[in-house]
Order: sequence, then structure tokens, then C-alpha cells
Amino acid sequence: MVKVKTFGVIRSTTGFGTLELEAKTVKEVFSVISKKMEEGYYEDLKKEEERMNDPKLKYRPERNAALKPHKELKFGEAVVYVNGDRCMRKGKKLNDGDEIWLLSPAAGG
Amino acid sequence: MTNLKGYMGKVLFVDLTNRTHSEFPWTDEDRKRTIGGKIMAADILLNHIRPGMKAFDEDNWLVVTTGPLTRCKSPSSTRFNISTVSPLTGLLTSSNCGGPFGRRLKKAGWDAMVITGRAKELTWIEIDDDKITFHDVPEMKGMMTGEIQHQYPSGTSCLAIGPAGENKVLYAGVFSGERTAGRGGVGAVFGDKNLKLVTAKGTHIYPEIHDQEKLDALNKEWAMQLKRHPITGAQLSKLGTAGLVAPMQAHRILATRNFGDGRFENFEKVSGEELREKHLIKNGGCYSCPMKCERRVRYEGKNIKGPELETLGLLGPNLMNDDIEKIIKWNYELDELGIDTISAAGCIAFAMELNEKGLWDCGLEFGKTDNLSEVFHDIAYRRGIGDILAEGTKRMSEKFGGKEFAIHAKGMELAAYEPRGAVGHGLGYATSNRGGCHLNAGYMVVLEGLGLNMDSYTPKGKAGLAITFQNVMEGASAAGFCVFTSYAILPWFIVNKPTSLMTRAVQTVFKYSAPVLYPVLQFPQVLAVNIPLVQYPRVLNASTGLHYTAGSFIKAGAYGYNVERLANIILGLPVGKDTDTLPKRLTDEEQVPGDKRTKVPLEKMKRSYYIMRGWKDGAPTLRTLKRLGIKIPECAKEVFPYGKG
Repeated sequence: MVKVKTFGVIRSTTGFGTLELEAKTVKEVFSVISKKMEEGYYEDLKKEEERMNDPKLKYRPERNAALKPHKELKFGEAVVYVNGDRCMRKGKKLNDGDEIWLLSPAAGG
Repeated sequence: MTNLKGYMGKVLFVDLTNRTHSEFPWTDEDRKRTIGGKIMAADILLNHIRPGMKAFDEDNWLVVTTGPLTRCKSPSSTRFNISTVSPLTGLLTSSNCGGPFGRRLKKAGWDAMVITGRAKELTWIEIDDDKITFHDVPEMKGMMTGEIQHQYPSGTSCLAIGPAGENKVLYAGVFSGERTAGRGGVGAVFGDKNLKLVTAKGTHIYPEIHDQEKLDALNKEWAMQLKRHPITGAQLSKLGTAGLVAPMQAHRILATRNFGDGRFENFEKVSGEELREKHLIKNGGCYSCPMKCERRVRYEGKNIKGPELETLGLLGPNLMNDDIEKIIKWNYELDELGIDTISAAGCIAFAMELNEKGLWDCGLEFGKTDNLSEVFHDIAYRRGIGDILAEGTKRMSEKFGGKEFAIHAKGMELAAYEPRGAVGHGLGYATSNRGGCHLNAGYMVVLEGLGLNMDSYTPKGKAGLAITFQNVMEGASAAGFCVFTSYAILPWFIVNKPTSLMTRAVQTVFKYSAPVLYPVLQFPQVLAVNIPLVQYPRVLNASTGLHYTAGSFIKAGAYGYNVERLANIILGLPVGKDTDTLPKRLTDEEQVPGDKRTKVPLEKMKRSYYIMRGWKDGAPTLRTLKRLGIKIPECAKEVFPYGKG
């Protein structure tokens, strides 16, 4: 089992903060997460549609691509850290108990 | 009066000693040269200050300025600025604020106000269009910043100080609404002048605009650019500046234990995610800003402004504190008392380390923070150890020792970014004119890990990039923009794809950008075009009728930066090896033991920086001043190292 933690906007798009899962490589982590995201994706779209059609809410569709419902999370769209070190290869092997941080690609303030 | 649009055309001059007021002479030539805001203020002060002038001299001026875009409905352009001689650094300080006062000052018909003298009694200056009234307000003594401002209706905006300003805490701020002109101790200068409050209201309509149709179109386009950008449209609106805690942890730039480390084990407990999930009521923000980065949180049943990143970082990891509720409480208390949270937290961290090393038995310890509310009150009222803490880190180190870990630059405490994890940011801190400020520094961390991911340990390319960002942010601030808008200059398709070939290529190009940036910085007029992602000159032109290009806008920023530097030299900034420094902890000690990259190679970067700025030993050369059209005041010739002969 590896522990995955998400930060920034990615936490909203993936829908979880911490998750334990089985994965042997970083690539597998992304596959598992994407699978989970796809399950919630259509529900998210439905909810957004309901909000848009609700005249009381004055809801406008989200213009920022990062904040729209996502069906998957790609390796190239996140900043990845494994046990505190930056990971630039999705093929990187993981060991039991590793901690993976997934961060939004950009931040400022 | 003015023939330019966007400006109100008048500057108010107020003398508190004699309770008189008049119009300060400021021509269209001056406006064209300085734009407004902090550059205007620096220009005014350059021609007023003298060698040896101190912050608490009666003739030290407080200069409150707006930009031509303040109240012009452009996105994130409601800022105003307060400049003066800082009691904390002894140098020029400028403090930018997003509160409503700037808009109201313009509504009253004034672009700026200059305040001199010292009132006999605690005073309130009331600005009601052209009518200026002075009131004695002894009953306001000791009042908190929120308490004062709640007395006035929404059509009146205030500049107010709290008890800390009255008691001349060297890092007291000035408050407008819940926003602060926090850095450099401008509130202490208010206090020294016995000035508790300035209010402004008026009946003027919006400033006349040069090309309203074009400005509306540009405003729309720019608002959309900001909303769509991953930083300004997603991270800042979703998590506020607090969203930086986690990326800073990852990049080893989260100041921890008085900048002894760049990572904090319990960072998640004081992160933007924690703030959002457990404490957020809703987003807030400045007028006309689509980013809405403010966090509204609940405290004792009140809906209050939540802590920003700097406050979270410096009152959290830097004190080894992982209790976010305490930070929310302290943030509120410090605002009410009228204290800059960055400097206060920096002083506390330094005191904790002094105590730990046996240099000052003050009772403060890392991780033990139950008594800090009391300490903050003691600072504001200058009681007990608070009286020493109120003097700032630099003076404390002169008294107790520990200069090598007294975390300040030019006497101002550093913001929450640990520069050994982003060495270009360290160069920015050191060269920043007002001291340890991340924004005046050029905010290099946005390239060194937070926005892009160029090699954060290499000195290569950092000097030119720091200068470019410093100049652009100087110009943006002068026009009235929030400097956060400058993040949108980085194309979203590069920022959003951290591992893409294009992003990696750009990061590499940045590393070797010096040969390209050098001529641009020397002769910015060659860049006589407007770049689509850099909206500032276009919006400025549509509003005022001026003719800025990307190049002339950068030149205006360079003008401001050099005027500030010249003013600092007049005020006593040493020229030579001690001009731009960092504490030894950051330049000589490795953050990660055994990893030689993890210290700031300041001297190496400074050499390139000075060459690219056209400076010698930290001072602009005569050639540089001439190139930028800066006139050296008579008094400067006594002290300016290259002015003789």
C-alpha cells in the first residue's frame, strides 16, 4: 500500500485529500486515481447541470479549466513528490509505505 | 490640474503642526515620469529627504498615493500606497494596500496626499472633497483599528492606526477596512505625528477616461485572462495565498524554526487546505478584483478576514506551531492592535532562538505558544519583553547578539519563503529597496518552484530575471494594480504542464536568459511593442492617454527602483559590501546538511545583478541615473559615492 496526499486545486478535482492504494509505480497511482475520478465525473457533471438550471442559484459555468469536473488526472498535469523528493518519471517504482504528494502545477501569492 | 485622463489632477499637502493644508505642486511631466503610486511617492520623497533624516523627525513626510487606475474599474486595480522614511529600517519604505481608502481619496478629488508636521493632540483629518478639517480626538486613544472604522458609514473610508501605532512599535501598520499597509512601520510614523485617523469621502464621479470603450474591452479581456489562469483564476480563488503552504513544503522553502529549515513536519495542519475545509465561510477580496483571494473565516462568532500565507507560515512553522486556530486568533488580534504580522512573527521566532541559545532569557520557546496573545498585547503597549520585541529583529540582535540568525534584510524581517530553497528569491530579498519583502524582491519563487520549476539552486539567470520582475512589479504597483496580477504574465499552457517539453525548454532558456535580458534592461525602449500577456501598458494607455509600451513600462519600473535606491543612500544605506546582505544562516549554512547547493550564493548573484542594473557596489552609477533621467538632489551630492568629481 502507498499513501497518496493531494494539495491545491488537485484536491478538488480528484475529490480526496488522502488515499491509500495499491500501486507498484507512479503511473499506476495515476491510473487508480483516474478510475476513481471517472466514477464521480458524470455525477459531478449532473450536479453542475442542476445548479446551472436552478434559477435561484444564479450559477455560471466555471471558466477556469482547472476547476471544471475532471475525468482523469494525467502525470503531466501534477507536480509529483515521492517521499519528499520530486519525481519526474511516471515509471518510478514504489515501495510499500511510500508517501506520494500530488500538487497543483502552479501557485502564487 | 491635469490634461491627462485617469488622474484627478490634485495632490493634497497637509501640515499637522500648523493645521493648514494646500495643494502640492505636481505637474503632468511628473505624472508621465512616475505614473503614480510608489514611484510617485519615491520621487516626492527623494526631493525632500536629507542625509541623516529619521523616521520620527517632525519633517518626515507621509506620502499616500493612488495610481491612475485606482477607481477605473480595471481588474485588481484598487490599490494605494503609503511611503515614508521607515522607523524599522531607517530607509525609504512603501507599503501597498487594497483597502477602500484609495478609491475614496480619488472620489474626494485627490490623487495623493502628503502629510508633514506633528499634531499636539491625537488628531483625525477629515477629507470631504476640498474641505479639510482637523479634529482633536483624545477619546480615540487606545482604540483598536476595527473599533474606530466601524463608527463611519460605508461612504467614508478610513486610514487608521491601533495602539501599536500610537506607541510607535517600529512595525506598526496602517489599516483601511481590514486591509493593511503593513510593512516598514508606517503606522508608527502616524503615531509619531499624533495622527490616529484620516477619513475620505467625496462627490466626484469616476475619473475621466481617455478611451472608455477600449478600456472596457481591455478590462473584460484581462479579467478573463486572470480568471482562466491556473494561479490567479484557480489557486488564488480556491485556496487563497494560504494554498502555498503545501507547495512551499515540497520545494523546501517553508520557513521553519526561525528559518533553520525549509520543511515542517506538521505543515498540513496549517495549510490552505485545512483553512478551506475547516474554517472557510466564503471568499472575499478587493474591489474590482476577479481573483478574490481573501479567506473569510469565523472567530468567536464573528466573520473575519483569515490569515494569509505569510501569517500562516511565520506564526506556524517558523514558531514550530501547528495550531491553525491560534493563528486565526492571533491574526485577528494583531490586526486589531495594528501590527504587521510578518515582522511580529519574525521577532518572536528570533526571540525564541535567542532564549534557546541562552542569549536572552525572555521565556519564549519554540512550540510553546499558549502565552503569545499576551506577548502581542505587550508589544502593542510596549510592556515588559514587548518593549524590546517592538524594536524589531535587527535592534534585538544588536542588543543580545545572534546576528547570524537574525532573519532580516536592511532591518526588515523576511517573509515566509526560506530562500535557501530558492536562491534567486534570496537575491531578491537582499537587493529589495525596502528590506526583507518578497514582493519588492521580485517574487522569484514563482519561477523557482511555485509557478515554473526552473533550477531553484542555480545562480544562473537569476539576476536578470529578478531585475525584470522587480521592475515590472514596481510599474504595476505604481499604476494601482495588485502585483498578484503579474503571475498571469506566465502563459497558462506552460504553467499548467510542469513536465512538458515546452515548459522544460522555457525553464532552461530562463537559466541562460542573461545575454537577452541585459540589453533589454539597459535599453528597454528597444522593446517598443505591447506584449499580449502583459496588459499593464495597454490598460494604462487606454485610461490615461499616455503611450506606454512594454519597454517604457519596464523603464518606468527601473526609474522607480533607482529613485528608491538613491533615496536609501541619502538616508544612510551603506555603499559597498554591506549594501545588500542576508543573515549568515542563509548564505553560509546549508539548509540540508551536506548539500552545498542549499545556501544562497549571494555574492556571486549580486555581481551579475549590479552589472545588469548598472550599479557599482550597490549604488546606481551616474551613467545609469542619467540614462533613466533621474536628477540627483543637491543634498545627495554630499553622500552619493559617485557624485563627486
